[in-house]
Amino acid sequence: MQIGKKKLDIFLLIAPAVIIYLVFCIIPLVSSISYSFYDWNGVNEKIFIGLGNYKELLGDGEFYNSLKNNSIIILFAVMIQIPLAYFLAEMLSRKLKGTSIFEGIYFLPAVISTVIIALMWYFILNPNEGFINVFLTRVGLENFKKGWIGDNKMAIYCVAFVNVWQFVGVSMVILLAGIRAVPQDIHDSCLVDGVSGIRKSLTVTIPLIKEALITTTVLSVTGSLKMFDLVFSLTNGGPGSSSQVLATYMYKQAFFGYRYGYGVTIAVAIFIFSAIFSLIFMRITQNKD
Amino acid sequence: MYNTQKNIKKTLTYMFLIAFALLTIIPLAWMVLLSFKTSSEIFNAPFALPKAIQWQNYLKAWKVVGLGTLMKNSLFVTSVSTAITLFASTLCSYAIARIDFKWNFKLYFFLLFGLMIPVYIVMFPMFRLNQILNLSGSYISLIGPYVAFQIPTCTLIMVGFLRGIPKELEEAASIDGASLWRILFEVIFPVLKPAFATATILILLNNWNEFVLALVLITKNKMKTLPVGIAAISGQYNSNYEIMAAALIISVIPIIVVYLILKKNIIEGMTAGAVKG
Repeated sequence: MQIGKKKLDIFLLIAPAVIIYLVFCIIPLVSSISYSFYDWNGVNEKIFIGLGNYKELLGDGEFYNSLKNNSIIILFAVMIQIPLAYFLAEMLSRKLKGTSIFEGIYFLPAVISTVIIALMWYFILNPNEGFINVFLTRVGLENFKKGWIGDNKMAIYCVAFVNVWQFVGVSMVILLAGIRAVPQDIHDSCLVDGVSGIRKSLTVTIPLIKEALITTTVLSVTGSLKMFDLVFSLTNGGPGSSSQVLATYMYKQAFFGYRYGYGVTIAVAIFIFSAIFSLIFMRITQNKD
Repeated sequence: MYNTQKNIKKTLTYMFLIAFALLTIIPLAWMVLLSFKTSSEIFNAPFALPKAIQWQNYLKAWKVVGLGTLMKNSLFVTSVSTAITLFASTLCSYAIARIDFKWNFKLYFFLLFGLMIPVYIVMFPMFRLNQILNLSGSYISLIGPYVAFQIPTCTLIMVGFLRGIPKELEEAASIDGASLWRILFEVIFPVLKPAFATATILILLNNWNEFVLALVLITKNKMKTLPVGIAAISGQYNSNYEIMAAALIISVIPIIVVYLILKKNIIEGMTAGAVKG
């Protein structure tokens, strides 16, 4: 009696979450993967083509172009966002006045919808009436005017920059929490031994906050791999397809090119890439323990 | 000597912190400036302050873009899906963290697996399902995936928190003969308040700002959510910068107000999943 009742209780506790999760996440995941084996425009009869979509993907220049652009965004996140976030966190961890105000300001862009952020930067980076070019004209530096998001060489770097701008605050807060958790006597013994500045960062602080560093790296890398909103609203992948990323390419193929099966295949590729990244990083953190 | 060095260092630090704060604020400030000007002022005197503040830009933006409807839709979808997520996920997390059954861990990892799944993957079958079941006139098609995709995050936070609660709390109550459900509602839920706060903030923000699913799954104009409605204005009002800017300002105001009030909780909430994961 008691055991039967316990089983019923457990069932009632887990059923709502598990059912919703299965119906709206796992089952769509499985059926999506199955779509990727079909040539399908979303309307007519599906045609089974086995690995055809995957073969096409591996020979698709625009797929590699998108992958390259995602890599640029990831590179910016890892090489600029995280060092900058560390630098800011290190400064805010000193006992100065007003640190919580700075923290609040730096974090702000992360709570605002990326679509709004993108349009906001459109006012700054568009080549015609954008803030930067208008400013350069006014101060007589017309030679430095650039095409920014209208230039097919620069557009992707603009996207990568705005992404760093939006999320550097999040990385900073994670790293700051790590730095603040370093015990005071470690700081004290550094002071006694005369270890400070860059040497202290490299030999003492960074090894101690390794976990926080790995966490923010994983978050920025997987976030950059899945990026859609910013590119869609800031450059829409253009000019041409110079700032196309995997997710916008997927969207274009599926909903404008009516190549449903192929779009799903790109989505599966994004899933595989981010799963590989997460697993590698999980391995690294586990080895440490 | 040592003191001057220290002061120089302090000044440099502040200079850098302030410079970076300006870099964060200038885009917002520029947008505010644009929103108060007339079209011709934007074109002829881009850096000057407006001669008179053009409040009617805001009225126009509110009406033309239909911000009232967009916000109402977003608020509805966001609050309903957040409430369902919290309810379903907390019950499930309780079972995972506090009751021993055969597949606690398996269930936990199965749910956490969802953290790795990009929304793009469910988008296609959901879009299909919408067409087949003719759901495009209903928010179920959006709320379902919103709940499903926040369950992993919510479970992560809840299980982490529940594991930290001493067992004695329930044991005392169960000796008194209270049923599982009474223990849950009268003993556990009150203790979970801080975890609820963290999870609610995180999930609310994620859903409020969600774009891709809303873009693909909601096709009716009057049902669109705020990010989708905002994304559409860039094409329509390309030449009316002041209207666009005013619309953007109106749409960030609610978030900024909430942020100013709950700053500490929001920063904690948004990084909680990350730090615990």
